[in-house]
Amino acid sequence: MELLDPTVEQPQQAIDFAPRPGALAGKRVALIENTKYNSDKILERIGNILKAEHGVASFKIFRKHNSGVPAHKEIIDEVKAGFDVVVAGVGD
Amino acid sequence: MPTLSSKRHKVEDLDATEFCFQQGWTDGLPVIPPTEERVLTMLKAANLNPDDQIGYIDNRAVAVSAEKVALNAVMAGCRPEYMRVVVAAVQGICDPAWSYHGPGTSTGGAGVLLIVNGPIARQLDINAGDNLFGPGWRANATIGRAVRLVMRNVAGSRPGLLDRGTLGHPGKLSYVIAENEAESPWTPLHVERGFTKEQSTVTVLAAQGPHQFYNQLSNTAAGILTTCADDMRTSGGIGRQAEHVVIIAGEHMKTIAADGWTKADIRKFLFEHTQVSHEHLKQTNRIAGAVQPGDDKKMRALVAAPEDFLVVAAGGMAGAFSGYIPAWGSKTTSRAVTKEVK
Amino acid sequence: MLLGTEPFRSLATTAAAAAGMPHLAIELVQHPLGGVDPKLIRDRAESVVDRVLNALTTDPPLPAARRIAAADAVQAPDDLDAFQEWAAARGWSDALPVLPPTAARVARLIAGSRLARDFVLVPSLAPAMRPASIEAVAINAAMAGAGPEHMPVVLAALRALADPAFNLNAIQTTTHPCTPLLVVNGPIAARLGISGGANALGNGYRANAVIGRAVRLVLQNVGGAIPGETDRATLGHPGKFTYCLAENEAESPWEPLHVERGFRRDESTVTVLGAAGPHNVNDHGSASADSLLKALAGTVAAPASNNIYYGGEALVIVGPEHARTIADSGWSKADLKRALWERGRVRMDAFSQENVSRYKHIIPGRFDQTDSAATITPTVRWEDVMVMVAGGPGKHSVVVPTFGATRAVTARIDG
Repeated sequence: MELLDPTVEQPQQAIDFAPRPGALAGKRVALIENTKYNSDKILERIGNILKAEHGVASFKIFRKHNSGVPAHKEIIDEVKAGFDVVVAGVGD
Repeated sequence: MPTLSSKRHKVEDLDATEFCFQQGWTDGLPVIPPTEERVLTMLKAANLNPDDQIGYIDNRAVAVSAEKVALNAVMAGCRPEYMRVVVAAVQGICDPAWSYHGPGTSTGGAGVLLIVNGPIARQLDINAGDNLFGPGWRANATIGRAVRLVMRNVAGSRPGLLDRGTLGHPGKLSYVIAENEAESPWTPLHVERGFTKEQSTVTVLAAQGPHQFYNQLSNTAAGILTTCADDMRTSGGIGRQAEHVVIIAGEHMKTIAADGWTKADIRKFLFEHTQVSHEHLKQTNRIAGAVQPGDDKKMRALVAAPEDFLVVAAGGMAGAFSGYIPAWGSKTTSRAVTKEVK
Repeated sequence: MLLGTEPFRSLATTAAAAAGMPHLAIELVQHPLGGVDPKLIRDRAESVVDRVLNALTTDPPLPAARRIAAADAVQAPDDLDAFQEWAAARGWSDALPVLPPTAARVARLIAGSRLARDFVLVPSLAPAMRPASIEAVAINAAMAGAGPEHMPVVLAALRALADPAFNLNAIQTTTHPCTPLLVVNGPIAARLGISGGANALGNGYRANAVIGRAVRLVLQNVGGAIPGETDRATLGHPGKFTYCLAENEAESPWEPLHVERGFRRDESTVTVLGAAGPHNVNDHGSASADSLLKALAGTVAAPASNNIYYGGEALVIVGPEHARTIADSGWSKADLKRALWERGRVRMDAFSQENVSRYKHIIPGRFDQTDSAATITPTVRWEDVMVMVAGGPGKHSVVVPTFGATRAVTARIDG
């Protein structure tokens, strides 16, 4: 008999990769935490080290509405406008 | 004759069941091999074209076509007349308010509870009575299963990969009930949620397993619901203030109705009696932090508002048991969505 | 970049790929974070910060979706004869004359693909693991003499070749003579004039010639399979210039190859095999399937074929007259495959003792039979005998063994 395949292949959407800056000196770092326990603490510590030891100009921690949704528009807009690199946290 | 676009596999008749297992298409139980004829019959019964889009799951970037829903409904063992209910349920899980990402991947191991209302429940013999959550009714077993197979095969929610449920629960095979509108003295769930009695609907909720509570002593509404509240008060949900479905079965239904209580009265009572002190919540490690002075008086409600209790009359007429089902997460992460069965 | 805990690796990589960023940097720390002493959280942050820094400041190594810079334009001799020497000196040609890949020619071919110039068709083409952009493919197709209409077939073939199941890296570098054989099915064959009829594997058909050649030049110039260097073929075979044909669906009594492999009859596809040269089967006498099997199975039963040693598929291209004879005996394709497999067995004593010892370990259960009258099947399973119909009038068929450690892959042709 002939069976039809019930699965769907993931569509290949090719997104342009923004080239990384060669160094973080003078850059603004956005850190997005997903509200799970300690995600803010680990990101904050990372932000502090990057600032103290790697010349990062500033960092800001953004809190998602909750872990189950992507970062909301206001976060994305603010990061796009005022930051150079982003670290997003997933899992707990 | 509509054209189906799914990839085709040639298999020997006797090997078809095994083939479906090997391909990873099943939920662990055998499936009905999805042939073109069966899929076309399923589509026809719901009056759909193969490439009609049933929904779009945003963060999986996946469009769910009628063809794929029909394919998975065939595998689940649905009769063609069930397809319309499956479609409504899939529309529910694609709704942004249901927010697929959380229930589809979380360690919280959500099942997808489907509550069916309206004439379709009787037309399709969707069980609303004895052994409500148990096996035995084809519609209940296969409609929920179809939705789960769509989640697995179309949206990619496979256990261990995208589906990170730590424990999961048996409702993840199928979790379908109808409200016992024939014998209930109360307004049906879908009418409370804005539909007419004559419309048929599916309410979809990302949910934990059912908890049962027992009360054979009380002959008052307050008596029965006190037990319910006591059982429910610290169920998984107090921190998140998740929606809770309250299932009132036959004997309890009669007792509560005899006292003249409406669903609204039930909700109000439960809301007032499911408050827990911050002291207790901290002592039992349900919320973080050290106990502060005054925490014994500071109360936290189980749900954000009384409306977050979804009261459903269902279950067997005999037996002093009713139940409740906590939703998987807070309302901001996923909430109950009701879709009309067209 | 993405920061997470170890058990969520699969979720993170799948989500990144679904969002179009398969090479997004993902760094993981020990699980869990919830319920862990804050001092340990700080330690974990300190342990990962260097990796975070690296992820934020270094482009990922394998660019799946990275913009490819436009190819550098270089000055080359205008004179066509001088151009041949110039191209050969750079290792661009296959030793036959190539057309200069001028901007105009390449632009026409890119247009024929209907994809962006810098779209990366294959992120890493073996063995050099370089990205094959539409432009890079078009440049090589231009040199091969292909037209814009041939591009969709070339692109589909390359996508199929990049499928891990094909094992391109091995095919490109082995001492075995194998090279991709492209089998085209569906309406596109007639539309482009890809022959599946008389002399289809020979000379004379532009589409057959340039499509196969374009693929080979990409594999050489982008994939980096340089004869004598990375390409270690001992002898090779002429298919390494071009090896492309269509199935003769009109004269086949059976379903076409692509329908067998899960596609609709009206879809166009290309199936790629890592193939050796064709072995002819001449049978002018047999009048029934059973009789014809002697010659066919006898040719399939090649003791020194990689399919015997390593598995994989072997292809039998049945000429239309032979196909008619077999079908008139009431045989289906499956019947033919089973018969070829069963009757194409090779006696164990046809192999030298050294080879028996060597190949015992490669696929268990094949070479460890001790009885000298024992036989070994030409492929591991009967389903691994592939059958298609092609050729013109005449009572010949052809057997094409493959490299063995490779699986045929079929890709849909878009366009």
